[in-house]
Amino acid sequence: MEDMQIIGMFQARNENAIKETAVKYGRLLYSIAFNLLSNHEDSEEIVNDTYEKAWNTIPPQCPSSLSAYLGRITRNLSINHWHKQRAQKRSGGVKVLLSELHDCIPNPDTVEARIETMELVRVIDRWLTELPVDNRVLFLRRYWFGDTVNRLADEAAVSPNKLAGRLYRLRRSLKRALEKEGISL
Amino acid sequence: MKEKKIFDALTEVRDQYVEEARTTSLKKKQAFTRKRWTIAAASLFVMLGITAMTIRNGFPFGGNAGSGGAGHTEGSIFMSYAGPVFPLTLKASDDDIIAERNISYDFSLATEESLRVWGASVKDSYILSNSSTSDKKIMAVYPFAGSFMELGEQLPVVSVDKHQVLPELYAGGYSGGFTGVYGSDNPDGSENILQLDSWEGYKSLMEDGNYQNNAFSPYPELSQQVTVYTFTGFQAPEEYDAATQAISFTIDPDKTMIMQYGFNGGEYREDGFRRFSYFVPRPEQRHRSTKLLIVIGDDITDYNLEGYKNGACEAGNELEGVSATVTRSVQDLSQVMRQLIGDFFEQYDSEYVPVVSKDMFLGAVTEFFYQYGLLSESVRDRYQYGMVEDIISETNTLDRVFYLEFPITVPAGGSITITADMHKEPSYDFYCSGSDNKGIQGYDMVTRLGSNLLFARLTAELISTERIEIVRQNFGFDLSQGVTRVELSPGLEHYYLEIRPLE
Repeated sequence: MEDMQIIGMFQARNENAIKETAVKYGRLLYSIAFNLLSNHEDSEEIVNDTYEKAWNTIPPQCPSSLSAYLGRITRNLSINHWHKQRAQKRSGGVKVLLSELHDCIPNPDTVEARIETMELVRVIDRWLTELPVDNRVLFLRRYWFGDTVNRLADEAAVSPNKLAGRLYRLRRSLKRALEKEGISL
Repeated sequence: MKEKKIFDALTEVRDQYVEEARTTSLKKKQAFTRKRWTIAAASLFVMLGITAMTIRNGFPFGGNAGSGGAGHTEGSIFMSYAGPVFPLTLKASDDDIIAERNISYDFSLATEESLRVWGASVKDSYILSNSSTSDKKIMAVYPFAGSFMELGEQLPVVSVDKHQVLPELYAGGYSGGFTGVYGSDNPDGSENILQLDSWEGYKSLMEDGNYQNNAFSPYPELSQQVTVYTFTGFQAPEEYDAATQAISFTIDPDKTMIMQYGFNGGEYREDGFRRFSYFVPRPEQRHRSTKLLIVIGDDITDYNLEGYKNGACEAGNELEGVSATVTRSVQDLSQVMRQLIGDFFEQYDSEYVPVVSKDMFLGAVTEFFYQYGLLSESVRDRYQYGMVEDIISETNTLDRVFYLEFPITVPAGGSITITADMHKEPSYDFYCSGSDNKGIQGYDMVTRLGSNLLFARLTAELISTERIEIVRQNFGFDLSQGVTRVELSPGLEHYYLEIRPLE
């Protein structure tokens, strides 16, 4: 079913919207949550919560991309869940992703101001725009969708080490872009 | 945490890039040597308590898409199409029978609490006259568009001379088709559902009579003897929430097909290697978790059972202590399918149990298998992995044309009245589609399609119009002048009415 049809069902308060969303995006959302949380039950719960949040926000929201909208909810719920759980139990997915993203952080000594999230979004967005498509896709598959290096390497038909090197160069590139904009975190 | 700011900012990057990343493969353009797939849907459905992997309203956008509100020579093409009201017909044509038809649309609120009109109560009435000198004992047939899942709400109530009758129900096959995974943007393939979106679609489907003939033909049978591997006695270390049991083996794809039920993932290779896997059910769920593989054709010779820490069935991720009891049996496929249909609605879809008999639904599932599933000569991409749940669910939810058959006697030189009362859902465009047809409800009727009756007179009327305005039509109603009953031309194939509820 097309996204607009599903969104229309949300708008019409048709509960089939949840089913159609599960059919079309259940796997994707589950994989995003599982990639971050590495926990089957938590991931199921997050996906369930994603549906509930979508139901509660559409309308008034009318997302231009339903997959991005739902994925964003899942990411946010997953990271929030991880923070709640981390005192009790470390979850590999988020921890690894966050530790990799540490490479992107400019030296805090060089800049003084605290950057608002939206400004950061703007810079990252621009940096992504300037990337070749294959690198942009790779970066987002790893850091937005949380796909494993092994899986991405398998798909790209290269060795995991080679792919990890490519990701490292992308992170450094992002760091330089942030530094260029005078951004420190 | 600094990294979290990057993470959060990434979350907000533009939709276009997220969509691009989701849909773009990293693989160079070359032939796949193997195909991986993972399915968590089944468990999601259990969790949601919804289960119906419904693909109803798979109305095509583009091409047809976005075509909601689009211009159309005979009314709009809506994004969600409810199908037309069809005319009564006779099982066998009879030149001595002349028909008059009146169709009324009642736009009363569904209940006193309803805020606006949604759908119409339709009364489709006929007077059949017999011009011969002998009584005519014949079978009448009333078609209507619907799905097994919503049959309870869609089923017309048929009366003959004001006495309700109990017709026999027959179901045609799925009325739509399939398209590529991205719908009209990429129509190659058959991963996605493409339901009918116009009365012309029904015309193409029904006008040669084959669709109706098939609906009245006996269902095919699943008489094959198959080998069934049933999994029970699930065990896994408690600390692994996503512990996964996999079974792998190699088949000759020309001699063996595998259907699966209750599995969550799998791996297919061109050399015949197959791996199917499922998340080991939690202890409280184990007694009601049905998982089995159905082998059609040559049996599998050797298989390996492997345990993994999670759904990633790969080296380095193995887990000791994952096990199951695998029981091999040889059964009749229909017997297996009957069991799985019961299990499916009990576990996943208890809210949408079909209101028809188990035999009828099994027949429809069987027909679906032969038309589109692994037993088809042209297996649709959507069903290539042999997931039985998909076939059961979509047999239930996809639109089709049903037929109500009932005997009538039209006396010599006399006449009888037949009425079909039903609630008709409207066709409509989705609210935030940007369509000009937002908020408009469409109602189609066809005058001849599928009918062998000769119509001498055709009329239509509107009832309770105070809460609607007419936006487009070719009936000839004029609410401002109080014209709510009109004569129609039996020669015109299609009439359309598009209304907007008044708040």
